[in-house]
Amino acid sequence: MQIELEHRQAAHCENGVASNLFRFHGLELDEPLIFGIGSGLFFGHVPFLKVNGTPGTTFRIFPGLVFSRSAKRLGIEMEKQRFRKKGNAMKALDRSLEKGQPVGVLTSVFFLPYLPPAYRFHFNAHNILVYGKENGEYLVSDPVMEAPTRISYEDLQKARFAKGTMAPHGRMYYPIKVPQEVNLEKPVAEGIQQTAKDMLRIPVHYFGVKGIRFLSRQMQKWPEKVGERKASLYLGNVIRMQEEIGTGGAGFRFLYAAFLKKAAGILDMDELDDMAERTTRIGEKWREFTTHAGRLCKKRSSSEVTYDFLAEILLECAEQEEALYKELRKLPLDR
Amino acid sequence: MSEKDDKERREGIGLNPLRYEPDGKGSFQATPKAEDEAVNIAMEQAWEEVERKVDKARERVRNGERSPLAFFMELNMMDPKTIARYMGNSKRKVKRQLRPKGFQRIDASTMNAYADLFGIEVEELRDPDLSRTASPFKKDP
Repeated sequence: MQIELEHRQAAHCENGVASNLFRFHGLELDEPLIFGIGSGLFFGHVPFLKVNGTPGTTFRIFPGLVFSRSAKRLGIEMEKQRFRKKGNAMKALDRSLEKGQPVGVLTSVFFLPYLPPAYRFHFNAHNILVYGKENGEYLVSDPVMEAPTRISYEDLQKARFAKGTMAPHGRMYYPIKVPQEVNLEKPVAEGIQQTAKDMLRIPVHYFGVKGIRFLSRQMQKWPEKVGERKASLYLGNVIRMQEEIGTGGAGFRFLYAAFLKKAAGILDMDELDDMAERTTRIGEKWREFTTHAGRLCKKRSSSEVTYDFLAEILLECAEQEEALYKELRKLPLDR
Repeated sequence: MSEKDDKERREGIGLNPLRYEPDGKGSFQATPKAEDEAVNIAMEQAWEEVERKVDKARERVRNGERSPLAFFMELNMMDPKTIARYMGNSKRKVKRQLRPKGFQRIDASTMNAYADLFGIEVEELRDPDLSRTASPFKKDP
């Protein structure tokens, strides 16, 4: 059995699944819109949350929030389930598919055989869309892939019940009520307001603009604290979080600029066009950071690029971002 | 390893990540991502680190200091805590089984569960092919 579903590629899995799923139910929204309405842009550096032994850094909001926030703002009702028993999780998936309902499923990248080996680290919050079953295999629309693909029952079950940090617990979700006409003004405005707030107002130094400054301070201490080899690994992790598949480049900053550009049209506010321009320049600043960081990783200790030098670029990013969000907060966005 | 193979291992087939690039006219295009030097360096470096741990485990298994479980643990980029979660065991028990003596005492159903977790046969878990590598970049040792 196969449900007619249009697969469209996206930079990030969660935006992509949301966009493809909402489109199936008659609501056409592209990736930047979902990302912006769901307030996906963020920054966090949490040293004690180790990912493969390196301090955790993120350029986006916590997994699942883009989905839940955008659904809420758009007036979409979602059914979400998690499971204790593997068998029940697969049966529930089958039942939904039989009803003609494509299902968003949370998986671990490590257990998805169709992904290239180089990407198969333990990352437990990858969203895919399952839209059919044929000869015991599931038909999968994975937004990071160019085309739909397939996965066996056993592999999917393993991927849905990966353990460790952010274990998916067989989570699955699908919309039960989708409005066919949505006035985007309010959702877009609320999305912007929340992003500005998230980046400026969280009173913990791990998150938002404070988090960027914190990473900058931490980074200067790495070579002394953990040695050149580990410092290089830590830095490499920041590069990957910022530029590897999923971010759309420059730690989601380009994707957000694309959203602000659209928002300018939807809300009819020229100021947002300028903000999009500035977000692009901020993205370019982040790119400058990774280009230099890559060189440092390659040479380990080099005289041209030092951790202090990189920390300086991060401070510039922080400063520019802070000014941007402060101005976004001043815009008359109450609808 | 030919250049083409290398590219395939890195990017796979059909995985062509999208990237939003400013087009200079104030607009954005979602285009397939261009080769990124910094990301490649970071990725290879991350795999080197995995491989360094596998090398260490391989040596210790060969010397009889560790059980084959230790080798498969590193090969699958896991740690005792993660394995314990998968097995529904305590971390202590897993750590005990990482030692050759503790490994000998593992019962049949637990062996099956381990083999299943690592996607191998029980025989291979008992008598591992130590030439295996985790990294898609590294040639055979």
